[in-house]
Amino acid sequence: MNLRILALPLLWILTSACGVSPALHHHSADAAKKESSTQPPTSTECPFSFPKAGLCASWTWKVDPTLDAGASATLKFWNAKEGSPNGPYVAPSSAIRPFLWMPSMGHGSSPIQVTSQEIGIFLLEDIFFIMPGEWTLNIELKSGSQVLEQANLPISLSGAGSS
Amino acid sequence: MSRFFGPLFGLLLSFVVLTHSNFAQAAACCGGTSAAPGLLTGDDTHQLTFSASSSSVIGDMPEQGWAVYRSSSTSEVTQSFRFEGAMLVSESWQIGLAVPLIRKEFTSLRGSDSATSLGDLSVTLAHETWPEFGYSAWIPRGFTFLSVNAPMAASIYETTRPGAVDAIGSGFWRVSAGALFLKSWNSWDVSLFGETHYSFTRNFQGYFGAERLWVSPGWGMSAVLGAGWSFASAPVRLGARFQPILNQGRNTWYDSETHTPSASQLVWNSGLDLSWLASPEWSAVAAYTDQTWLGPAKNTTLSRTFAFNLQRRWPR
Repeated sequence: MNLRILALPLLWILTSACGVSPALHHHSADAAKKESSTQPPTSTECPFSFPKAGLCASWTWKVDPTLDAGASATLKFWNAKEGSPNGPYVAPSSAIRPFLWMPSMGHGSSPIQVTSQEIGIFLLEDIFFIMPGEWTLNIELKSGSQVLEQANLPISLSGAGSS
Repeated sequence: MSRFFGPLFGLLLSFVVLTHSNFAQAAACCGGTSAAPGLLTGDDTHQLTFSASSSSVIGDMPEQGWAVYRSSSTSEVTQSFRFEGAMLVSESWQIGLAVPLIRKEFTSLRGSDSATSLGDLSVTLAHETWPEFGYSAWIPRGFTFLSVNAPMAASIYETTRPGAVDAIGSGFWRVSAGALFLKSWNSWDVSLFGETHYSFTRNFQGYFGAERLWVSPGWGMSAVLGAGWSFASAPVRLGARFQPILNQGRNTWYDSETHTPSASQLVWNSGLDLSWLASPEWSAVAAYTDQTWLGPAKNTTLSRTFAFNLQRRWPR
């Protein structure tokens, strides 16, 4: 038997292990919590823009996202031309669906619970970031089962070196 | 060689412990696993194996930067009970079946939640491609195999529970092929295992309303280098193993849109094993696997796993 066929996997094992050990190079979750910025980067005018619907929306945390527990947030909509982040708020004519997505992993998280509180204001609960890293906050406007528009903002939940 | 039960002592136990690689998942959030099937490596006609393990997520390794260890207020534990059987269908061919039962529990400041489900099933066809007909100082005994993994449990794309606690399965049909080589000298034994796998594209209806989410995990590979030493005075073996698992980034897209491929994943399983060969028919293994010892790791969770394995064999 030609033993050279064993060389490739053996070589990969031996060479690939020469890297940074997570046990020796890691942060604690508490340190990551202090260093990360969890507020979505916002413009003062229109953080989430829905040009087809003529709407803007803002996402404000009520319970900050951590790896320890689910977060909650308030989602507010206003008319892009006539309103502002401070109101008056309008109810979207279509249904809304917020969700999380982690681009590096290629998956999202568990469903977010949506409750309408006032006209144009929604309470979002059970927002679980199941691991640290770069996520996106996504909002869909839907008509029945059809997605009309979608907007997203990046958010980071990680240790040093990200924001 | 150990004076206990002949020259296959180390080989038997070395491969029993390799199957523990299955309990240390690559990216626990998403059901990714290695693909080391339980094979008949001794002079047996069939074998049954029961394994129990408990795996705790210690931290997370992002795509870039350092790992982040989770706080004590968070706990994500996966307990697995795996029933595995293998049998000879001819002098050199064998088939196998693995059925896991998995319980996942997530505890946080919010409270505790758990889910239990049948895990992904695995069917294996293997061949003793390099049998050991006579003594050789260097030529190992070798097997090749082909496995099919059938998704049975909900995946991360089908989760409905807070914290995705019910994301137990991989969610994809997967085919893997590989080879195992075993060699022992007196009290020492060495094993080398390598496999490559491909997970088939699948769509998840209803993930984004009526639009289907298409996910294509693609290719991955893993390899295990193991070594062990058998005591001369007792039928006990102490072993160590190292296993990198690499998976390419996933392509995901809507019906009407294309996503950017996700990043690839890399994690190292490092482990220690203590094995006891009670008789030619019975053996037991206690194993510890740690994903934080070796690096680099990338884009994955990091877990520590304790496992126990009991095996019954029927010699020829």
